[in-house]
Amino acid sequence: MTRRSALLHTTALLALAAPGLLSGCQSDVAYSQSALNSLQTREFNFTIDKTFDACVGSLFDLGYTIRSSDKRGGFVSAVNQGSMLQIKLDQLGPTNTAVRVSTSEGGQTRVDKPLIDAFFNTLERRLLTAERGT
Amino acid sequence: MSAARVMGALCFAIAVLLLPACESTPPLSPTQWNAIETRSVQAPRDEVLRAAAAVILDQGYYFTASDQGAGTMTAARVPLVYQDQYRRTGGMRSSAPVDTIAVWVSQISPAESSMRIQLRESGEHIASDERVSAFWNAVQRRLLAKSPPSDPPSRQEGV
Amino acid sequence: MNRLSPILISLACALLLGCEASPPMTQTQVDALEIREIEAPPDRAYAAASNALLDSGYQLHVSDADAGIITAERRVDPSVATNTAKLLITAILTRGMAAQDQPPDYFGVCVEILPRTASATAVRMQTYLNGRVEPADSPASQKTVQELWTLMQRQVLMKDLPVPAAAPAPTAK
Repeated sequence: MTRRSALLHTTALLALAAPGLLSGCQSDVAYSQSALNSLQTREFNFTIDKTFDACVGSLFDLGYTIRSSDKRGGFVSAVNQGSMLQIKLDQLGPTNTAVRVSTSEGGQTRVDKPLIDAFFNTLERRLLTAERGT
Repeated sequence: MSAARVMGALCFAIAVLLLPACESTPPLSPTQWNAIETRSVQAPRDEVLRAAAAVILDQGYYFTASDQGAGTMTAARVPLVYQDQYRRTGGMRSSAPVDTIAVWVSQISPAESSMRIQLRESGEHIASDERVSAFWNAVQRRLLAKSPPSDPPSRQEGV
Repeated sequence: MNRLSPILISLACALLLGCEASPPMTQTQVDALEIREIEAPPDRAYAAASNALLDSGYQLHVSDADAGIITAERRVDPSVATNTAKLLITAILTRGMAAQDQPPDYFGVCVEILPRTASATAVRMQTYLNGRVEPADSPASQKTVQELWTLMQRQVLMKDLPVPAAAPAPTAK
């Protein structure tokens, strides 16, 4: 193999591998405080008790393992291979609960929008199923 | 450089890029996990929780989280291969891969509860109908033995 | 080598014969070793258990009074002599390629408080060494359980003692 062909060879390989490698580099999106609040917090028209149970169920559904839980304080955190979800519930009214989800990776806070959305979707489905069941 | 060589290199590179996407089995959906991991128990929630706590200890796990109000318990045990890492990185606070079991008990009716059992081996989520059933059977046995987890021995140490 | 083989085989056989596996204990036998009853209400038994663990130098990792569950762990570092010996031996055996120190040992305990009556509580204690459960009939486990049990009883007794009358408040002159 000549020097030129070896160079071509390497360039072709690198060009092909670049998109694959680059997709692994996820740059963090900078969110404003209000954007972060609207992304992380949602309100549900359910009691805090039902919402908490649905949160626990959603964490199990998504394959997360409970790491700490305090129902009285409205807090639960769960982990799944380095990724952590922290959930805080606040009672806004008798049948109105705010749920705030924050995500972290390897101990560092990182806003993971797809994960937050997936959690809220699962939670919504659980709450609706529970409502239909009662 | 021959065309065949360039083609070969291209094919190899494509294969390398595609390989990570190939998974032997598709990941299970939340509903499938729920079906595998959930069992019904004919007993009130608190009794099921007590029996589950006893079985967790019986199986050699130690509790890493517990919330009676939420009906959740998480427990771990260290596989032999990771024992050295466990010792060198802070014991229970270490990040050594451990086997875990997470249990969530919720009340369905006054006499019936639902129990969800999540198993992990060295950090990996396990989908095992058999092992979930084995745990569930052990809980049922504890419940059947009346006052769970078991009657205290005759030895009484009054104070 | 040929001459050595029969010796090695017979040695191995002799060692194997010495290893007599004891039959595994039944759950009732394990319970009999791990569970004891104390004449105190569950909340007092719980408080006594956590105080006993703290008195023995354990660090509490999980404490859920409602569920009656405590997990605690105590770290014991090897002595300097042990550490040096292990470093030297591994250095010699591996020709300095993979010398290893002696990691600390972690002694864990899980306590389960089981309410029986208003004034009696059963307490289950299970011990762990480096993240793995210790057999309930092992001397180490029995020793730990006995020590904790004694401390727990002392805690309950201390609570039973009448509170001494408060000293009169100093008056300003």
